[in-house]
Amino acid sequence: MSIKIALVGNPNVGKSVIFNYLTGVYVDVSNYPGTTIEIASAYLKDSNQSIKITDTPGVYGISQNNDEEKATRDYILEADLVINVVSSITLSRDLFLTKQLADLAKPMLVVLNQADEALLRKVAIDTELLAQKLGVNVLQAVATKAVGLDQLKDFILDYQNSFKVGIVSDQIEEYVKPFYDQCLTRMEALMMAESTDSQEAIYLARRKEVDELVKLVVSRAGFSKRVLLGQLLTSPIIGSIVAVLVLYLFLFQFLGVFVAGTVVGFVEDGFFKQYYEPFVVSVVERFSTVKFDNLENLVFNDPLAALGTFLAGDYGVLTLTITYLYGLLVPLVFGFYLGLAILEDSGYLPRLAVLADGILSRLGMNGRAIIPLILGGGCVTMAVVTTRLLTSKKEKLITMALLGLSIPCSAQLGVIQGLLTNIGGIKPWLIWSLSLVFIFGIAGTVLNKLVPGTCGNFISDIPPMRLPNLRNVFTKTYVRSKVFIDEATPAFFIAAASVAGLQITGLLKYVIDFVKPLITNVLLLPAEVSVSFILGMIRRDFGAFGLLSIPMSDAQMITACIVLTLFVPCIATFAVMVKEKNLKVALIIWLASWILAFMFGGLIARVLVYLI
Amino acid sequence: MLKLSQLNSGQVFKLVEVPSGLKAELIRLGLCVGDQLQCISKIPFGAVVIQKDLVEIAVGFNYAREILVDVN
Repeated sequence: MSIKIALVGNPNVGKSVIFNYLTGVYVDVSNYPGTTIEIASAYLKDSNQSIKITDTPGVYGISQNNDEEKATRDYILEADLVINVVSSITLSRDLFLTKQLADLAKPMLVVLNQADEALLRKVAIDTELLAQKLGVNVLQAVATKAVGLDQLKDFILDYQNSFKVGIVSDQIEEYVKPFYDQCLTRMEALMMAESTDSQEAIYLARRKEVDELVKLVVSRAGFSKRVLLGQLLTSPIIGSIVAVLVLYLFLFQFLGVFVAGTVVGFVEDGFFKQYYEPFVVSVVERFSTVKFDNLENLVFNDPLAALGTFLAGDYGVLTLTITYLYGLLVPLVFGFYLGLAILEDSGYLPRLAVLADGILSRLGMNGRAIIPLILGGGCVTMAVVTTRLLTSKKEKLITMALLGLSIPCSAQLGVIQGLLTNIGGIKPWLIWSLSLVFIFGIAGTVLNKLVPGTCGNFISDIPPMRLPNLRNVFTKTYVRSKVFIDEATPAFFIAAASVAGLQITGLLKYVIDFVKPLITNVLLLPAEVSVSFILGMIRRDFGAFGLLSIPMSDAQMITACIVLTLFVPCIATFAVMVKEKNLKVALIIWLASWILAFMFGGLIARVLVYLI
Repeated sequence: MLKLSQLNSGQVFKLVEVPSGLKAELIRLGLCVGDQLQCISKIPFGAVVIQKDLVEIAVGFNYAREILVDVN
């Protein structure tokens, strides 16, 4: 017989780490409310019983009508047993869900996680008393250090004895009773009662019980430094200074100077350009010829050279694609996700959301939108998917549009940071970033006026600051980078193959001629940049790579970087926008980014002549 | 009576009125009308962070203007 267990808890209490330990399956873990979007299920490992465990999204309760709560509720209704994970430091918040689960009268078990952090914060919990008052078993654990998890496994294996139905309060029973007659199960009756006018009364009764319970079992001895640090980071002045500093260090120093400069220089120039590409060219030249800077039609004139150039020419599928994928993209994407994972796991991102809420509210969004916006710095396509977390239609649309218009993805960000750092000094970087901020602000303000509806409200608990667990940081970085690279690889080959195809058929010349007037007259850039733009339409980051080899003045380089950042979202992003919204919205965003990029680019090109 | 958005950081206050659509969500997070709470941070023209026990809750700019509080 198969047993189904639902792992349930508030956001950020360690469910995913426990799930990983029990099943051996990795799910994206973050120190941010609402990061488990996809629901993972797997079987308990090293066990001959068939026990299926489901990791549900973090929720504060299971009656309200957002997608995550609905999904969690459905999994609980279906499950045979419930493991409720609670954080030792936020019991007064977490026990609300615990009591709600107990009211469902399903056999359950409570894991009191993050016991070490409670200790750090000088919080002591009387586990035995808690277990007695709840009427279920309570197990202390430190999931990140695997403490208590073997015992949890033993409990699961012995589920007939260890999972118990909790104590249901009489007061809540009163509200539920009338629904018994109409419904089949107790759970359905409770869910019904909680969706009527009695919801507030039930909630208040439950809240009162929880507060009394917390008074009984939790004792505190003073404040800890960590709490104060967390609070400093959301204070207006110090918080803002730290935010600017963190973004500067992360984007400019780490991603731009270190990863895009030092690491990529070492891998790309030191290995791929010096050894790998010459090697491929020499192999290909054994049976054919490779022509560089070719703009004529080779397919009819010299088919063998056409094949050689297709494989190993300027846009060769074996040379350019491999070099860019592994020499540039892998270090950049890994660097971005590493930085992001540290920011996430330390609990810093929600604090950034608090700081950004005021500004984002004026642009038709709210603090919550900072997650997709920052994730966009990793992969805009992925970020567009996470706009699902946002509650109102207006917020979603504006965030999506701004992602498409003004947020560069990690690969592009890295290359552009590298190019800007190459020019030297912080001035180019400031011009580039201020331009983006300007466009972001203007576009947001205009969209806020144009798009009807409300922008949704931000209310969120702030997880405590903690030292990131290194293993978790690296696993997350690895998994995310791999997903990105796997997704990018075919698109890269297609992009390179199409441009190489254009090159060997001589069509590239016509494409360049067609876009040339826009590039040279409007943006005052060399005609060769046209190719970057063509590439950029397929993959944004791919476009930026092309810039590396074109000689340009500093002002031209900055213009090209800005226009390419503002320029159209890549094909994958476009497809996701169609899926999340519709074709019309995606097309409008796509066309708007053309117009905006070229208008602003033309303007900045003329201003920069005087500035640089 | 003040709006939550008018508080300064450090101020202790009593929650007086919450828009009805927000009540249930706040109760779940641990905040009920009548509770004594502390504002631990206030971003100018932005979010307010309030604290109860060890739980810190950020209330966005738009909500903070709809919540009424009493400062003793």
